[in-house]
Formats: sequence, structure tokens, C-alpha cells
Amino acid sequence: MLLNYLKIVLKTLLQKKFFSALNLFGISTTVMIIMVAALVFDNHTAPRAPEVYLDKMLFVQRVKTTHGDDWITLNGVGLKLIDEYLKKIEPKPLMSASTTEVFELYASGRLQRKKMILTEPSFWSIYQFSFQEGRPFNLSEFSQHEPVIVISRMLRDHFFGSKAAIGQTITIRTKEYRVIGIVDNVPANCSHTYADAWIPYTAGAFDFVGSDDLDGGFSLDILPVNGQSSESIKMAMAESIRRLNIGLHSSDTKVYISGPENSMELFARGYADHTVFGGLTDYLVKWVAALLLFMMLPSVNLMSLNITRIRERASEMAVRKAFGASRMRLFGQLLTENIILTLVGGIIGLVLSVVVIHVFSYQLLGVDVDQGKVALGIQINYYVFGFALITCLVFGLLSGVLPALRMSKLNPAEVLKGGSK
Amino acid sequence: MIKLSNIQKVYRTSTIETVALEQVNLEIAKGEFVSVMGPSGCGKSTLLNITGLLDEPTEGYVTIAGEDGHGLSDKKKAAFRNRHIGFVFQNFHLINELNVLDNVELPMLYARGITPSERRSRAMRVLERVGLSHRMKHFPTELSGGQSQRVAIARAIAGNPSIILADEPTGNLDSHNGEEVMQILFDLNREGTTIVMVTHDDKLARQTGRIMRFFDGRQVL
Repeated sequence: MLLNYLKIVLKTLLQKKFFSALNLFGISTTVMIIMVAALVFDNHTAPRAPEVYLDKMLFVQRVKTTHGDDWITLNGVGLKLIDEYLKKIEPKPLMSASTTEVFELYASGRLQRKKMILTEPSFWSIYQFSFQEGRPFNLSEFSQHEPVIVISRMLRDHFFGSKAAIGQTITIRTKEYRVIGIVDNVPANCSHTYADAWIPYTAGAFDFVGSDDLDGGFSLDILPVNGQSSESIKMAMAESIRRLNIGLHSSDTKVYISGPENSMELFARGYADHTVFGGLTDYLVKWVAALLLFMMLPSVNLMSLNITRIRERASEMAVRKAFGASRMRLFGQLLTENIILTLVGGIIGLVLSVVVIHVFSYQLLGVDVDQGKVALGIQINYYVFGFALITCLVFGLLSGVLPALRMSKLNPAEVLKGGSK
Repeated sequence: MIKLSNIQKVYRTSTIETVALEQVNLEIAKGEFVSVMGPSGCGKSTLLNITGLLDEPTEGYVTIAGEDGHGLSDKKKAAFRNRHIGFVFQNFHLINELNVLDNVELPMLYARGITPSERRSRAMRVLERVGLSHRMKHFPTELSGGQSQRVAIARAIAGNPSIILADEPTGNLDSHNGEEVMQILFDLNREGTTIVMVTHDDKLARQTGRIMRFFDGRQVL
């Protein structure tokens, strides 16, 4: 029976080439766009090494200061704000303040810009790096401003080749660091951890400690521990900021922090108005609604195409009825055919999305190409594939149910009166 | 075998009411070959559709092969048609997307307990019977009118029905092909199949066992 349906689908596709092309184009393009969107979303929100707790984490990345009605400053977070207010909350989650710097390296025949993360010891507890050799820096080294460095395998190979690297020194931005650890290369799309060097921020070329600014170049990564809820952390930090604002000298000045935001809210922030703090869940809801609407449009289009196509097959449906097909059977047949057709479109869309993702991966994931075409940890995983499959099925059902229902109810006697060969 | 009692069929639109059949009472015995004749629009095809449970009468009852057609569900009617009735249409109504063999297999797709290999061998047997075993991989668009009608007959008999309802089976054929098709129908009738055939051809009708004539929806003879 299914073979019979498959033959019909194949023949219909081949006989009505324009319709088929239009049909498949609509499905495959939509599936491709949804797949790419899902993959980009997945890339920003799904946990993977070293960001294995990404789904539980919170981040404070932006500070907005308003001065009266017409002066707003937007910046990263200052260490003063982190140390004196945000880190004061109780009970304490795991928190690490980080900032980044870029250094240049002549590698693979060209000058490349590499990223260095300046952070603190708790960073290594929040993120799970795979150490090939050595260890991360500790609290003592951090407190003593010791110029120690953890480097990636790539950087180790660049500086030392096959020689031992631990205990050796390397110079970055005119400053010498002692190598204490070597970690596996981090995929470039791990936006919170990707770098080739990690040092204590107390050991950088610039002394951040002691700055009086509430804003600055840092972000705060937060991992709830001991069953803490994200909501309790958000509320505690909101309270800290409220106290901060009360204590400010100027009553006109108000300080706001972004979030703390989870990875989904951070993803939405990338597409939201930068001056808007909060309400990112609404953005996400709008996104999902837009996605559904986007799916609906080709479905409606496909539905009208299907009605036309199925009408042309009225004679076939009448004959099937005459020879023993019940209404439900015809309905099932037409729906199955439609789902097969959409699955074909889905497979084409899947192939297209793989091509698009590989050709435009750096642009899609916002990775700086100047850092060299380093490996990206992207793949069409089961989640994304499942999403695509469900998308196809929803398409098939949405566009097929109504035409199939109408056609299964046709009166065979009327159709068989006339008709052609 | 077939009994129509007080059949009336009225087609209604918002502005017009057309009586297609009125007070039709007839009986056809098992193994009969009956011709239904009359001018265009006299209700012959409607009679055939109602007999084959493809259409509902406005009033009256159809009893066929011991089954009362009145009030049967869509599913039961479909199963009944599949088991007992084979249709042959003037315009053949083959499915162009399927080859000859698949077209002939069609009724058996909806029958219970027939394995795919059995389906295939039965379809091949009936195609051989109508002299078209060499055309089984061809598509309907590659066949002549006579061949198409023979495929349609093969499809009608593939499920081994006890009744064949044929609506002007030779209407679109030349005399030679028409004779060939009629010969197949006569052979089937000789083997015990009950046949009801709508025709305009008086000569063909005279070769069948009985002629029923219709005029303006009523049986006149």
C-alpha cells in the first residue's frame, strides 16, 4: 500500500514539474531557515564542553547608567560593581569575573588575532576544561598577581612544538608569563570560554584592581550551586543594585545591570535593542511566534496548491472509492502522500542547511574570522534534526489535512459521470 | 441478486429540482446479463451508481447480494463494493500515474488477507485473460482505447466480484474493439458473473439476456 502511495507521489512530482519545484522549494527553504535558526539558537544555549553548565548559568554582561532623562551610558561591568555589590549576595553561587584581550601572533603564514581571557580561579570550577598537562591557576597565584598562564594546545604547538611547555615562559603583549597548564583547543563558537590563553586578571598588562568605576570591561559568569534557584540570585542582585542606587551621590543617576540573564536571554539580547534591559523573554516569545508564522505561510500556500493538485486527481479518488477505499483510507492516503512530499522537501532542506551552515558558519555564529579559521563545535545534532523532522511533519499535516478531508468526502458518482481517460 | 424497491433520486439545488429516477422497482437474478437503455439523461447512470452503492437514493431501498444497502456506513459500503462489485466505465478511469499491473491490483489493495505476491499473480492472471500480459509494465497513456478498456475490465474482475456494473463500456471504442470487450463480458457472464450494462447500442443490448428501457427517470419496459 505504501509502495503504491510512493509511486503516486513520485509520478505526480515528475509529471507536474513546475508545481513540484515550487512545492519543494517552499518546503526546503523554510526547513533550511528554521534549521539554521535552530542551530544558531542551539549553539548559543546548549551545554557542551567546556561550557557544560550553560543551561544553568546566569550572566551579567552590561551596565546601563542613566543621568537624568537624556544621557545614557552603556558598558561592560566594572570590577567595583562586581566585587562590592554583585558578589556580596547570600548565599553565594559560583561567580567569576572575566574580561578579554586580543593579541597578535604570526602563524600559518599570516598575522592572526588571538583571544586571551583574563579571569579568576573560580572560572575553572564553573567551566570544565580538559587539561592535557599542568593545572589551572589558583587563588594564591591570583592574589599574588603572579604572571602565570594556561594556554591552548594550538598555542603550545606554536611556541614550543614538541618540546615541554610547562614551566617555560612566553611573551604576550610585551609581558612574560610562565606556562602552568595546557588545555584542549576550545571551539570558537563557545562564546564564554573560547580563547587561546587564560591568565589571572591581576596579572595582566593593565591593573584593573582598585578602579572606582562601576562600569568597565568585565562580565560576571554565575553558576548556581546547592539547589539555588536562578530567581533567588536575580532577586538578590536586584536588591544589591537597589541599595547601590540609594547610596549614589546624584539622585539623577541610576545604575542598571542586564539580568542576570540566562543563555536564552543572552541569545535574545543579540537581536534586541541594546538599551533595553529586561523583557528579553518577550523577545523570545516574539521570535517563536514569528517562526510559527513563518512556518504557516508556506503551509497556507502549500494548502492551496494541494487543493488544486488533489482536485486534478478527483477521478483517481473516485475510482479508488468505487473499488473499495473508504473515506478514512483516502484521507490517510492523501495525508501520507503529503507527508512523504514534505519529508522529501525536508531532506532537501536539511542538505541545504548543512551546506549553508558550513559555508557561512563563521558569519552565522558571529565568530571573528580574523582569529583564524579555527574549529567550530557545530554539528547537526539529534535535537536539531528532530526539530527539522517535526517541522516537516507539521508542514505535511497543516497543508494536507484540509485538502485531504475535502477530497475524501467527494461524491464518486458525480466525478465518474464525466472525466477523461 | 439485485433488488431495487421504490427508488427515487432527486437532485436539488437552491433554485431547481431535477428528478433523475422515479418509482423504480426492479430485480435482477444471479447470473443475468441485463442491458439498461434509454436516451441521454434518462437516469441510466444514476441507476447504476445507486445499484453500486456509489450514490444514495432519495427514497427507496437497494438490496444487493443479500445486503441491505440502506444505512450502511461509508466503511461498510466500501468493503461491500470491494468484495462484490466490479465497475467498468465508459472513460476507463485508469490511474495514469500507475502502470497497467498496478492499476489492476488496485481493488485487491483494499481487500483483506491478500498478500502482495498473491495480488501480483492474480493481476497477472486477469491481464493474461484479457490478452494484455505483454502490456503490464506500460502506463495507461501508452495504450489504445480498446486496450485501456480491457485493462479496466481486468481491474473490475481482479477482485473476483459476483457483479459487474458497466457504464457504456464500448461507448468510446470502435466496433472491432467494442466487440472484443463485449466478448470478454459475455465470457464472464457465462462463468456466472451477474452483469448490468448501460448502453446506447441496440445491437449489443439485443445480445444480452434482458433489456430494461428507461425514459425520464422511469422504467418503461
